[in-house]
Amino acid sequence: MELVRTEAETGLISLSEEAPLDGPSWLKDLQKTARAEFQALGLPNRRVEEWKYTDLKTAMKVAFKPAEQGEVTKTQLNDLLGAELAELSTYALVFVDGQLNEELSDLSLGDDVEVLSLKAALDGDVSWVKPIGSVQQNPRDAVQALNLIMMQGGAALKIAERAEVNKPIHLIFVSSTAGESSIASRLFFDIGAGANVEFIESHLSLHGQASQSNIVTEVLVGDWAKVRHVKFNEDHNESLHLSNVIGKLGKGSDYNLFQATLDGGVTRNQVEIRYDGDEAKADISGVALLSGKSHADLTLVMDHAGLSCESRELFKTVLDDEGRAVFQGKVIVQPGAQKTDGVMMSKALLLSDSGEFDSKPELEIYADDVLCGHGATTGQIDDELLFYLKARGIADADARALLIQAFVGEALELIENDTLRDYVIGRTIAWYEKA
Amino acid sequence: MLEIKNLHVEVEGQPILNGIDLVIPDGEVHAIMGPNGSGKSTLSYVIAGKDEYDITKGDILYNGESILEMDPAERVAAGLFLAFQYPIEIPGVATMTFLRTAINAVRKERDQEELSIPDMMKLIQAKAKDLGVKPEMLKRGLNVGFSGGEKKRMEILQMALLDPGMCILDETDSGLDIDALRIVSEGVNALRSETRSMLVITHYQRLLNYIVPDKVHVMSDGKIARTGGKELALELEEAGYAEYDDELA
Ligand SMILES: Nc1ncnc2c1ncn2[C@@H]1O[C@H](COP(=O)(O)OP(=O)(O)OP(=O)(O)O)[C@@H](O)[C@H]1O
Ligand SMILES: [Mg+2]
Repeated sequence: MELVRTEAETGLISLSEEAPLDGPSWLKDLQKTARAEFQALGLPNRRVEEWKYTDLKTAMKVAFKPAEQGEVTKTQLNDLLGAELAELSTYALVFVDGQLNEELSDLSLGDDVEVLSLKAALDGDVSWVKPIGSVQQNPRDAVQALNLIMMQGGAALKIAERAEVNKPIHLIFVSSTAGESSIASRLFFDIGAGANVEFIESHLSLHGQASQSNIVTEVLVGDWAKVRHVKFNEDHNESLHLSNVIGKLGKGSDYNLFQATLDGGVTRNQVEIRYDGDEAKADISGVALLSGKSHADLTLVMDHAGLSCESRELFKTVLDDEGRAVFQGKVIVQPGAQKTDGVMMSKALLLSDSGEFDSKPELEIYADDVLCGHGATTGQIDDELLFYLKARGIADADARALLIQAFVGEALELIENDTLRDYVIGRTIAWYEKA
Repeated sequence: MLEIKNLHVEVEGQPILNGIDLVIPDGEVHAIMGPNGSGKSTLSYVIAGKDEYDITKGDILYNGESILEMDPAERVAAGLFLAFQYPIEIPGVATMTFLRTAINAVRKERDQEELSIPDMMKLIQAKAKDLGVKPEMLKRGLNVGFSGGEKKRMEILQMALLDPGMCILDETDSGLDIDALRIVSEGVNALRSETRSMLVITHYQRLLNYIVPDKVHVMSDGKIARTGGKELALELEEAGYAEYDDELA
């Protein structure tokens, strides 16, 4: 079959061919396979089922060049973070244009946390990093394949067994370049059995320019470990942000991922969770507030292989102008994964007539003793509620803001860290005050 | 003073109010009674400014000025307050947050200083206590999971907090047990003053033993069919509305 390549694809293929693939032997084969896969698949488009509503062939006109490593000062960083986030007591790991910046980062996280830059992880002879590239197991995902070939930054973190990490680890991605650039980063978290750790991930840009980022996070959650991860994106309106979080959950583990997306160009948050052990639970929730022509896609696969596992998903989307949101959630219950308990809910609130919400929940159940449900709703601000608030003297705009706040509030409640939750609430309020 | 002049109202082309004339001077309490569907709640919504009603004729003046062009929030700032027949549940909006927002919004419109959070809390807690509104209720979502009686008390609490000049109570007594009826009525009576007027919509004469009206109006088929003193309520309780229904027939 003759393939017609778009300009972006041609660009990406030549970049992938230039990629040195000079990592360790255990990775090189995976990378070679990924390169062949990407060349065969090209960029996903609407004829690929999983990408039906987010056509990357159209969204990505050209492939930006990988970012050169730039400079960010401590002051610039704090300005970017803003007072609330800068005050939050965390261990900061700062990635400038994808690369772990040692000067800006807190690298002494105690005896229980080991941090290696991606380069150090791949260049050294470190055995615990070997799952990198193989927690990812989706052979037909072009974006993950591309990341595996192109990844030039990121970090590997090992949390010791039974560690109680006393402060959240804040992963701060800053793009410093003034022009168009791309980054491909990879994070790998190896979380020891019984450990308790919290991650915050934010994506910031110094010059507010358009960027393309492809970030893959591989997470191994040990038995009975507890992980909290909040990812916050407020990208430039021409940026392309492709994120994959791929997790494997051990027995009795407890994993929460909350993703907040405010505007941005095209954002795809893809999450693939595999329940390997019994009695594990995960809560994958989030909010998206989209105005202008922002497009955000949440694609989720919860694959239950263990017994008595629980999954909870709650997504709240607010659409203004021509904002567009996609929710694809698939819950798989493998044969034998009895007593699976899964509840998936996705709700959209339309503030304009031209917003669009596409929702595709799917259940694939191969066990008989399970409790799984899903629901999706789309609605507008309820006139009766609005009138009630106005009849109490609250002006129209403020009454609407209260109702939007109430709508997203149900999901925002799920952020356990108070300061962080207040921060995200503050950003959402700023969003609809502007809307 | 509230003056309603020859008010005609339609919904989707269907006439509901057919020429209401009503004047409530400052300091007076008027009651409206009347059969189901006669238009009592419609009248109260139109005064509050709900926008699904078409006013085809007539006017509503408050303190001499037409309010028809004012939006609902402006009417509240001007002094009108409607206690709803069916208070609405708003999950996700904490009652305390809602009360604070409403009070400060109204104060701002009235060129009064906004209240600090501690002053606000004190004010709300004190009035809540008078009306037997439990502190836990202030933490919950607005009206969410409140019993029928609790919702009605919450309405009166809001009324007390927003300091209106004209209170409209739409069947505030329905759903209240005997003790609650007494507490709520005491709350309402405490608000009676020379400068404040009230329009009390009810089906039961009993309420009017507590909140004694200056005048009682009978509404039927979107019109005021009869007006009398407080004894009219007793008469209606005995005879029912048959007389007025006959008029319609
Ligand atoms: N939004 C609306 N759309 C259609 N019809 C309406 C609407 N609001 C009121 N009506 C109709 O107008 C009439 C008067 O209703 P309203 O609620 O004002 O009566 P009411 O006197 O308050 O009755 P009740 O004693 O039962 O509370 C009813 O026939 C009702 O169905
Ligand atoms: Mg009524």
